[in-house]
Amino acid sequence: MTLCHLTVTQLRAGLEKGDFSCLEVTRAFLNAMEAHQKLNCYITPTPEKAEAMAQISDARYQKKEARALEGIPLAYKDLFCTAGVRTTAASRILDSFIPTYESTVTEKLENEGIVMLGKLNHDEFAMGSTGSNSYFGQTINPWRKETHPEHDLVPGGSSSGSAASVAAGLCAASLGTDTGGSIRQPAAFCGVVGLKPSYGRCSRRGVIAFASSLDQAGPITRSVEDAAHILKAMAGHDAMDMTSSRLPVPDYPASLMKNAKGIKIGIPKEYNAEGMPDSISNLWKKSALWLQENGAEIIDISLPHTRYALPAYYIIATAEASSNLSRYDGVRYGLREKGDCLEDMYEKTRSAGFGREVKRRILMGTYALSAGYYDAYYLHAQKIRAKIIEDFQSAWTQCDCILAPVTPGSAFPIDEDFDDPIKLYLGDIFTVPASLAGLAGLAIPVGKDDEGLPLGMQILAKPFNESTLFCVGRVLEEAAGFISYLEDKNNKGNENG
Amino acid sequence: MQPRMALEKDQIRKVAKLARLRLTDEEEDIFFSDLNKIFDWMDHMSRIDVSQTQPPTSILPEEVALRADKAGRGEKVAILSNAQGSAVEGFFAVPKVIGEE
Repeated sequence: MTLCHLTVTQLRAGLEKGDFSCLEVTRAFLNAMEAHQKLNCYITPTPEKAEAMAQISDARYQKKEARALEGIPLAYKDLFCTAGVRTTAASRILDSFIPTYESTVTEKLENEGIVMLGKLNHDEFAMGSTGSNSYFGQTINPWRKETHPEHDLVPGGSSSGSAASVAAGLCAASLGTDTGGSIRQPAAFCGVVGLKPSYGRCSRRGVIAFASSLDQAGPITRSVEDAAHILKAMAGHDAMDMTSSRLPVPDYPASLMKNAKGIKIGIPKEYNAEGMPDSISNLWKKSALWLQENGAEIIDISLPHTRYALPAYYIIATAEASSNLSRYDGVRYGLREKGDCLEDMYEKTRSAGFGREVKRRILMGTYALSAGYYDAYYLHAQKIRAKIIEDFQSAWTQCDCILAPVTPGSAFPIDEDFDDPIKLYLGDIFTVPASLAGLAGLAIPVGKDDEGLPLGMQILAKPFNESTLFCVGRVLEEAAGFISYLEDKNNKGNENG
Repeated sequence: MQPRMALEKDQIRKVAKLARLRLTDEEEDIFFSDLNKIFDWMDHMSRIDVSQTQPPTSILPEEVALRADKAGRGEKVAILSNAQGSAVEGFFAVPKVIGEE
């Protein structure tokens, strides 16, 4: 195990004791990033900025003025605006966009002393679940099938680089965004921990918008404890985002000390999807048993409108996206194609700047909002959203949190046919309901499938109950004993290839 | 909700126009097929009766508070115009929109 495979908590303790310096740690990660460029995790590495920040952190340790995350090397999905550092949304339309301001969450993390290693790859405008919809190319999952190590696998998405980089030891932790599962699903595919905070827990200011009623920023880490520390640093009200909550931010790391005794865990019967692999259903049962052995009470629950969540999500998310992405017109941001008139310039810029999946979703959203179809699609989907929220409210009268798989399968090869959008959308079946209801969700790697690939379970809690997630998540993590860093043998295919 | 009518190609063109997207012939064929498949798949939404359900107005469990109507921090003009890289004499330079046919 190298410096690059320590958790945030272990790094912080080592830095405090003087076992290594911030600059040593930062350089170890910069070297690892250089050595694993083939994974294509980073769009824009920022080595000079990272070394400068590390030197500032070292000086603070020497002066005994270290902050909560002093010297911890993090990287951000390239959807977070970073002042003076290119922010692309993994899109051609923003490939030269340099923001003038910092997103609130990254600003808060920098105020706690983190070192920024760079900007991470993802699906364009966070639309996708494979990492293949990026203008900057496919991110590769550092994990490989035991039987076919020659196949490159998808890392999941949309926070593809955020999950793959943590799994491969190319940053200590990362930031992603979750609209319908974009933190939890890639975390599960890459064998790391992913937290989608409650809607409103973290500010969205400076996070490039996909679907504003669903988007939420969160950490991807190698342990539940790390996620608790990072959420504590990034959560809280922001006057510049009226949808950020005024509720106080609890001391999340303190909740890790509690046990699961007496906590009621709901198992939703509707998540028993047809065709779910035995490896996943068996791990689901095993996870429930582990929690039960640690004092939790397991309860069967029902979320009757689950089957309508996916189409409702794809109407609401694409409708919001079609509106949010209308600002990319060639006038104010990034790419501008010349046109004979204003209309011509808009169309040429947008047609050249957006990738295929983004265009598909803009068309879906525009259609769903267009005259004559609004009631049948958008309004209908919003009413289904109300039903999904009611389902969860009813569940919370019986249980404190919910245990379910994150995905209906493990990571698949990148050369698999991605032409069927419905097949890909179905992969979001377990993550989307919680997004629609604004819940908090924590994905934890709990085991492997027959091919040696990681599988994850998610714990869901009612809004603003992240403390319960961390408490239950820690118990599950310890019981599962999954090691969230890759042994050399798993990385070999990439290093040799 | 009534069963869905299939999307016609001219509707795809109309939606693309509304979205300020110019599709190639290949894209038009792909999106015509994709959108029909996707909306067919979504059609099972119509089976649920939501006539008595109100859509949510906010996902936040608390009331959304507006900030005071006071001047706050603003971005400096020089920083903004330099960042865009198309500044002329401290102003954004944008394509001409007045005087077109």
